[in-house]
Amino acid sequence: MNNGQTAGKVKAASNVYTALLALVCGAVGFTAGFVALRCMSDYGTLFKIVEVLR
Amino acid sequence: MSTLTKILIVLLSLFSIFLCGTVVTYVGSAKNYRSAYEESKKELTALKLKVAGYEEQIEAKKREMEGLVSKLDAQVASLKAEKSQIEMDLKEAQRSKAALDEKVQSLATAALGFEETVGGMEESLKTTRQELDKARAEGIKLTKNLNELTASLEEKIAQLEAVDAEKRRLLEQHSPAGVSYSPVTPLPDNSAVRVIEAPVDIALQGMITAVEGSLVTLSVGDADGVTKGMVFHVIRNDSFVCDIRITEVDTEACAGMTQLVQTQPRVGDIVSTTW
Repeated sequence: MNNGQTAGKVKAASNVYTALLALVCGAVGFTAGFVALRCMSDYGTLFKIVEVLR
Repeated sequence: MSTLTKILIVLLSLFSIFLCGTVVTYVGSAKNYRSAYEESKKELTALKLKVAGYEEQIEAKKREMEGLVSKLDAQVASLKAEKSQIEMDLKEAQRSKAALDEKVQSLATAALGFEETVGGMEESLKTTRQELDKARAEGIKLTKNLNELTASLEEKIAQLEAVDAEKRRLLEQHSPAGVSYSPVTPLPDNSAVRVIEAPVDIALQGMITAVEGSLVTLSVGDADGVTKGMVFHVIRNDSFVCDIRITEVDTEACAGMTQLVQTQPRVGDIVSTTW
């Protein structure tokens, strides 16, 4: 355990990089949700778009 | 945290943000193929329906056109037959026109000849009338001479009778009885004297059938007792028109010249030998 790790408790090495990773995770989630919403609204399904069109 | 981890976190963040932005932009601006497909399908269905309607219209138009074509063909055939009939009629009319033209030409030629003949006849009629007038004038002159001769003859006869009477008286005075008397001018034998009988004054009545100048034709003739020299009086409405002296006598008709003309006689006027 070194650099911010103490016994029995996980501690972030830097809050800046943690916030950056959280922001990135939020952006990816928003993107996935937006894509899923468009797919549902346009085609009514998420994974069978080709079958629906066929 | 090592430096490499920090660099990877930063790079991952940047890449993720870029990739998410790209995906969001692409998905946001992507075309809705389903709705486009459905719209295209609807349009296709409508177009198929329209094509079917157009095909039905085309079929109907074709049938109508075929009917019209057959009808027009029949009309064309009838018009061709009518045209041929009219052409035949035209040829017939042209032939008849040519025949009529020839007939008209021949009639015109005949009319010209007839006019020439009539002109010649008029000329001869004028000449005959002039000769007739001359003959009438000569007859009047001869009648006058005859009257003068008759008057002088009667005068001479009267003188002879006076001389005879004087001679008879002188002979009776100076000669003895028994001397026979002979007249100065012996009388002709009675048997040799020809008594000229005047035309019998019989009552004849007729009608004027033709008038050509002074020449008049009557409806009575030799069978009715008409003779040459008879004089008919023409009376119209109790007025004297003229006299007609008969010059030619036929069985059922006669002709004569007008005299003492007061008015021109007409066809239908009554003629009579007595008043």
